[in-house]
Amino acid sequence: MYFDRRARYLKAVFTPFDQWFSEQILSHEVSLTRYLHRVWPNMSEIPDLRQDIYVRVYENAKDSRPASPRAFLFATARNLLTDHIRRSRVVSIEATADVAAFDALVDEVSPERHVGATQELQSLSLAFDSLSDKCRRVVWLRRIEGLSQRQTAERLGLREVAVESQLARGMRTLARAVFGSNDGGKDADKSYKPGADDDE
Amino acid sequence: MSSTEIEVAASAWFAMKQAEGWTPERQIEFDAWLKQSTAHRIAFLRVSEAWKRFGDLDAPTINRTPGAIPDRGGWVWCSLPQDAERSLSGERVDVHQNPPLEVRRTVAFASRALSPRIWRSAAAAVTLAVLAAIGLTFWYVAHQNTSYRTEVGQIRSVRLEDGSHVTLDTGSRIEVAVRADERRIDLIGGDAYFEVAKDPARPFVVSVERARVVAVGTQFYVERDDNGLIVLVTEGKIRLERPAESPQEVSAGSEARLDASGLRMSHPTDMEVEETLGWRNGYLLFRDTALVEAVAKFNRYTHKKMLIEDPSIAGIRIGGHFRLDDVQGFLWLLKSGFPINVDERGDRIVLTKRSS
Repeated sequence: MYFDRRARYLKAVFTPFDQWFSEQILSHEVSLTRYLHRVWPNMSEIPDLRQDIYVRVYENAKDSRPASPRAFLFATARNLLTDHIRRSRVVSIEATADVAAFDALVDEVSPERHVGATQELQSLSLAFDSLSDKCRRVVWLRRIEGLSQRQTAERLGLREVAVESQLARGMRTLARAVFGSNDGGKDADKSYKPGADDDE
Repeated sequence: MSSTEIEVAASAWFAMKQAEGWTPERQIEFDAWLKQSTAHRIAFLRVSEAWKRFGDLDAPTINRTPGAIPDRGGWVWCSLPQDAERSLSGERVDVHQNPPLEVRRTVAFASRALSPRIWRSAAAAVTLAVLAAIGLTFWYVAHQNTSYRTEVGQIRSVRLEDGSHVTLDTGSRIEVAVRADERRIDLIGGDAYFEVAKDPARPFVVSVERARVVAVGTQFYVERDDNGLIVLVTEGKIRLERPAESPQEVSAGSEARLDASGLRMSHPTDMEVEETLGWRNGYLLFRDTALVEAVAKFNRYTHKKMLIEDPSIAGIRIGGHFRLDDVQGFLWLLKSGFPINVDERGDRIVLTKRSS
């Protein structure tokens, strides 16, 4: 079966630590992004900052997983921002103060950790609807209907390579929706414009 | 390489990996790409996780036939620019022309046929509220307390002297007396979320009328309305005490509703918890909620009240995620997704049925 094969691939890629990272670190992306927006004056730098924070967490947590992943994530974020401020010397004083005051902020930023299912489905549906018609069809048939790339191509009368590229672009938008970080979207969206490719 | 470029590469790998044409050569290339940097690995993890979670979108599509891709109308989708005039004109705005962050968003799930049952039960609720208001005598002895209140539309977080935190929702008021043997909060009106600092020697008591919610170190939400009270515990447990009744323990994940008919316990789902507590993040959440209830909730946060003039639309079911201050977004959704007319008349917003 197609899905079994996919599952095997994914298993081969991901280690138990990757699994842990997805569940315990990536799941805080909404809070993290909100925190970064609050303390960092330059919005366009946020996706890169976030990536640097993840890399640091991943590499530091690999050998011994922190007991409190969320606290570890935010502590890492603060340290990294502090480093950036020291290096750049152009960040406003408010940013410095806010970064330092992060302990108070973390509570405020996300009081509920366990809720968010509705919100997630809603932002997913919004993101899904923002895709072009073609892209929507491809993502839906591949993921929800479980069709293979070839079957999807046949069903929609597309070439397989088109299905693949539509899936890639759709997933990018959906990843941002899932993790609630609809910030860096600006840059990514410049490179393609959903809807523009809708030639049917 | 910027994070955006990495994101693009990770999605491309992901899509390629999902396809039939995957070969051992590609696997080697892919492994090399993954190894090249931790950022690559993390980007790939993110896309995979999104793929996994996107599968959940199967659930909220109503009346879906297998094989069919839901219409964009399967969820009524609209995006609103800051400019209310433009949004009220019903113009659809492409989210990609505006940075997504600056766009306020709204979703509604499919509406259902109006149900007379809902209308009847709303009427019953009103009757009950009147009876309860008559039946309950206002019980409150003024101590030399500290009083905290919020105006309409305001949400406020207060740190008490014992280290506990209280977050007051719109139009709410509490009286606080921290004493040597007890920390006492009287919820005079509205609703609030309590994060209690541990102190076994001094119980933390939230009183609503003659009912007492007793906690030691825990987090919970209390809402007082005309009917009685709602207690939702999110961490630890509390004890609900009433005169002439044995105390009832309520633990994390449980909700207790007390009204004229008695006490009811339930175990809300994560989504229901979010509906109750969404205001703390600045949002109102509706899921299969009757319009009449959604309007009542919104009205708590605004001075300009919405009024349903036509009972036949009161039972329309809506779902969505709205910023507390985004009444315009809510109205825009009603106009564009439902047969509803929106009329701003002075200090009121009147909702009527639109004849098509």
